[in-house]
Amino acid sequence: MSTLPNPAKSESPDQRELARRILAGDPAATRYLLETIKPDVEAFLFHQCWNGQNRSLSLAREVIDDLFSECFGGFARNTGRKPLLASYRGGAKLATWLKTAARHRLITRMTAKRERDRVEPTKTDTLDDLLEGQSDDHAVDPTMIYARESGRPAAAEDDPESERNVVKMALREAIEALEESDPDVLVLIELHFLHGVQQNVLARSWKVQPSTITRQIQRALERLRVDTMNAIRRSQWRLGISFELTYTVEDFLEADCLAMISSRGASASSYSKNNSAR
Amino acid sequence: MQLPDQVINDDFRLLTDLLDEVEDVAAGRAAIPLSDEDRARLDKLAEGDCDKSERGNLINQLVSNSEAMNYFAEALKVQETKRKQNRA
Repeated sequence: MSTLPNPAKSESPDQRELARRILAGDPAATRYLLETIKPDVEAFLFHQCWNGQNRSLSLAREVIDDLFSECFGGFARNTGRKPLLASYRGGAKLATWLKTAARHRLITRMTAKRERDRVEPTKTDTLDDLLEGQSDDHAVDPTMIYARESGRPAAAEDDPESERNVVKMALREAIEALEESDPDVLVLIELHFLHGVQQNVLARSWKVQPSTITRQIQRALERLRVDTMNAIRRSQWRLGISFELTYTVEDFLEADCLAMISSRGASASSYSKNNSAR
Repeated sequence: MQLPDQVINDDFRLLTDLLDEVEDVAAGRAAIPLSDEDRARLDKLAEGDCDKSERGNLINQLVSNSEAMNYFAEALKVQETKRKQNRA
């Protein structure tokens, strides 16, 4: 099929068209899904869950089989639900979207298995026993598990940006810790990055050298980074699975961190407009 | 697969548009109106006339009250403008 997109370079409109054609039963599109995208998703999930035990790989294989069955509405006949691909909106590449869905399903099953192990630890349980009665209807994403264990508010279930939300919650935790232990540095960060106050102006107010302000801010940012990454690692350890951040750490430092610090109060820009005559 | 361990660029760029894209992650900092006395203390801090103890007390107010933070940021900018004008 000459018009099918290159998965490495494809764009959303083409991907939506691909999903539409798969749902419509187009043989070429279906072959593309099974022969090109499915192996890619399989490789991703195997890599995600590999811990040296074939058992985990067999669990991943089951997840993949179920997932691609759902794509074609394999479960729809039994549950009345629409095919999975019908909910694809083209926001990300189809392969990426399926990888996220696969990872969430794997986490759901591994979490269920772990909880079963804790409640009913028997040596005779087979994998089928462990998975018995588990449904994909209640997909658990890392955000929900992190929220439950940290006692923090959870993001919406089925949130397509659940990884991002895990990072946000970890970052929020780090900011709160910094505020508790070193509030003056948090004030410096907010004044400099969000209100645009120059570091030499802050230094005059603080009665220190500008280099002192620079060092304090750099150390605090590094601490936020380390604390955030450690919180993410702790959540991954609890999940028993590592997941790949789909956006760069620089992104969250530039966007989420500043947005989160600024959201602790009212918009400074609106204040500036209202007080420009001061 | 491990989390990326790459060194993060610590040089935040000034992203002023972020202020208009604040997400629903507010930790609930209050916006308490400032008294004249509060403003005078913050002006004093902006001018660099507070000792460490006074600054510590005001930091708590800055952290907990967004109105104080916004006022203080403006006060710092006003001080800087005045300083430049005097120098000119």
